Amino acid sequence: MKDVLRSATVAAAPLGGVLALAAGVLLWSLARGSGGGGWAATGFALDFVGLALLAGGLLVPAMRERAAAAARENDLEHENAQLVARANELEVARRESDVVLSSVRGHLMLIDSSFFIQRRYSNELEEVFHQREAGNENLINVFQRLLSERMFKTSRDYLTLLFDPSKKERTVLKVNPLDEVEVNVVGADGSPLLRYLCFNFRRIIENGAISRVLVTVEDVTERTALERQLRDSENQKVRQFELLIGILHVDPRALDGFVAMATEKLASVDEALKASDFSSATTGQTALLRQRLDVVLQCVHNIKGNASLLRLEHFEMKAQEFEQKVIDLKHRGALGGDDFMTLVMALSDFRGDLDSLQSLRVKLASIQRAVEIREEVGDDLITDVRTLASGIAKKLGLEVRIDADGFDTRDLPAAQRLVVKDVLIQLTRNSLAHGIEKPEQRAAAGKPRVATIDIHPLADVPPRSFGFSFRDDGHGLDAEKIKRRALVVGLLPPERANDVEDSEIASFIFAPGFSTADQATVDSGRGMGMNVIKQRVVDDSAGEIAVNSEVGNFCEFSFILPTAVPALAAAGR
Amino acid sequence: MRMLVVDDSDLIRRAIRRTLEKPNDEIRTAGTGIEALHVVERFDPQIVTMDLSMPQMDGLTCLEGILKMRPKARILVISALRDKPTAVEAVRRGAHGFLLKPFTPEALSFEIEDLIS
Repeated sequence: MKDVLRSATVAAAPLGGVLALAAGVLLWSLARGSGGGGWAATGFALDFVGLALLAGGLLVPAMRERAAAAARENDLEHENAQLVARANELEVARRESDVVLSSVRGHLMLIDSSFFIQRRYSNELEEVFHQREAGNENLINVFQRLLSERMFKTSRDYLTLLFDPSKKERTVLKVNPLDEVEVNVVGADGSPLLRYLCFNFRRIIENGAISRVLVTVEDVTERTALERQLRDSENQKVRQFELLIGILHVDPRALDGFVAMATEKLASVDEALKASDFSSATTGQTALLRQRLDVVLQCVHNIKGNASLLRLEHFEMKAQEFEQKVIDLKHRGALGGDDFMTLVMALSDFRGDLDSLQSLRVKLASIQRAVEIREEVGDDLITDVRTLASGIAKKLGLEVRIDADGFDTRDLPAAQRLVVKDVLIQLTRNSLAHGIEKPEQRAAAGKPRVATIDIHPLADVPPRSFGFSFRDDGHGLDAEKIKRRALVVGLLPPERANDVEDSEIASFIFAPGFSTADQATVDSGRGMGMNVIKQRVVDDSAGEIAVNSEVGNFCEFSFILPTAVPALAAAGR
Repeated sequence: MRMLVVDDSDLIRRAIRRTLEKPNDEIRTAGTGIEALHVVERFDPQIVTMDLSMPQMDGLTCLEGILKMRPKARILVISALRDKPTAVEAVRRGAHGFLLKPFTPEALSFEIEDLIS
């Protein structure tokens, strides 16, 4: 900014901080629409970067003109007044430019058509480029120092394109090869550093020609590293998933065996590679190193065979690659300790995958255990019934146990299984609500305090059907109570009240809306329970129901369900 | 308008054709660089869209060949920009526009408009 500085000094000598002010003045005059006539910035949106850039371009001629005018002006007083006014203006402008420049990401510089860095708007450029003096230098030289040879050639071509008026700026900007470029710099302690820089370019058009290019540069190493980390972790997830899919078909015990065996073999490989004679081995010890290689080869080959046996393709492939590395080494003429680095890497990679496998195996095992526990309990229908019974019993102050040995519906078709489930749930509710007495009553009647619900399969059933019985040792069906209720709801005509068979009385309980409970509760009394059972078993499934009850002793329901639903019944639904 | 669409993917060729085709337009397609040059010999396209990575003949060679035969043709490179130096080289050798894959029909139409203007 030397020329800017000079002219500004003439005009505003008493002002401090001239450099910042100079840039500010341009912004300010632009904002008021008094930008210099022949100056135009095209080819990029007038964003903050654009404004800052225009400022640099506008400054020079405008300031010179003003400086000349000021020099001609002999009236010191007048000049003073002007200066005060301008100082105020500049102060406003400076604040605006500070805002602008602070909002520009990265560092700014201008280059001319021979790629010389003309102006720097940022003193941190040296920091970004990791070099002392970045100004007054050719950007090409900077690139040559920082970039790989191929990228350097490309960047040189690219700079040429930026100044080539026959190329559209929009197209040129789209192929920016330096928007995330790897650079090799020397750190403060002299060690080589890998950084990523992001360069952005904008053309500056003056008098219809590309006079300069504004360059912003930003160190994006951290951002790039984060992006890479994210990508790596995505890849890792994909790999884990593939690994999981790959082991699902393998018997868990066989998998455990593989992990144990591979771990042991890898330990042997580790031992072989760690042996002290390795790190200090000289080429003279090639024969000894070859022997060690044979140990490694044997171990890896063993792992490969086992992986193949279990169709653990991932590990088979991994072992295969490992094996190939060992074989390659074996074929080398002379061997030194350094040659084994590649094997150490392969070993650690293999270990990592084996660890993943083991942790997946642990997760799988916990899932399998959960499944096995359910299976040990037997039929989960019975589990549900038990849960239901103990819940209701607790609420009603009853004690009950479910005896369901030998009861198993797992072989039933799903539809029948659902029927059985509905029936068991309804009967359990009914038994607890109507049949089973309180422990004291039971004790008084000489019965065990704890009631028993016995659910068991029927042995003698027709072919292709499933039979089971549900029996509680409560007080049995109360024929008198049922009869009274049947009379009330009109199921039993009063004239037949004294002339009704027990079997008919039992059938009343299956009528819709029939309930002997005095009050409707959650567990009984809506009169739908037994009707639902009849619908599910007889109407829907063409099954049969039998009731057997002894007052004071028990009530038993027996069911026979065809395991294949008759076509008619099914069609009628 | 006479247009040539060069891409080794049949899917992309069809997608581009579907987007660009208007009544009175004549669109030809080519699956390789060599095929493209043969088409250009007989057919004088005003607009060419082309990929840079194709079998048999690389995109840059094809681009130069087309411009040698038809210097007035406007060329839009449609590429995934896997290799940045190649993209820079394409612009250097005379590509007029550049569209990044994957692209939308709107973006393609916009680039073609920009190419003609």
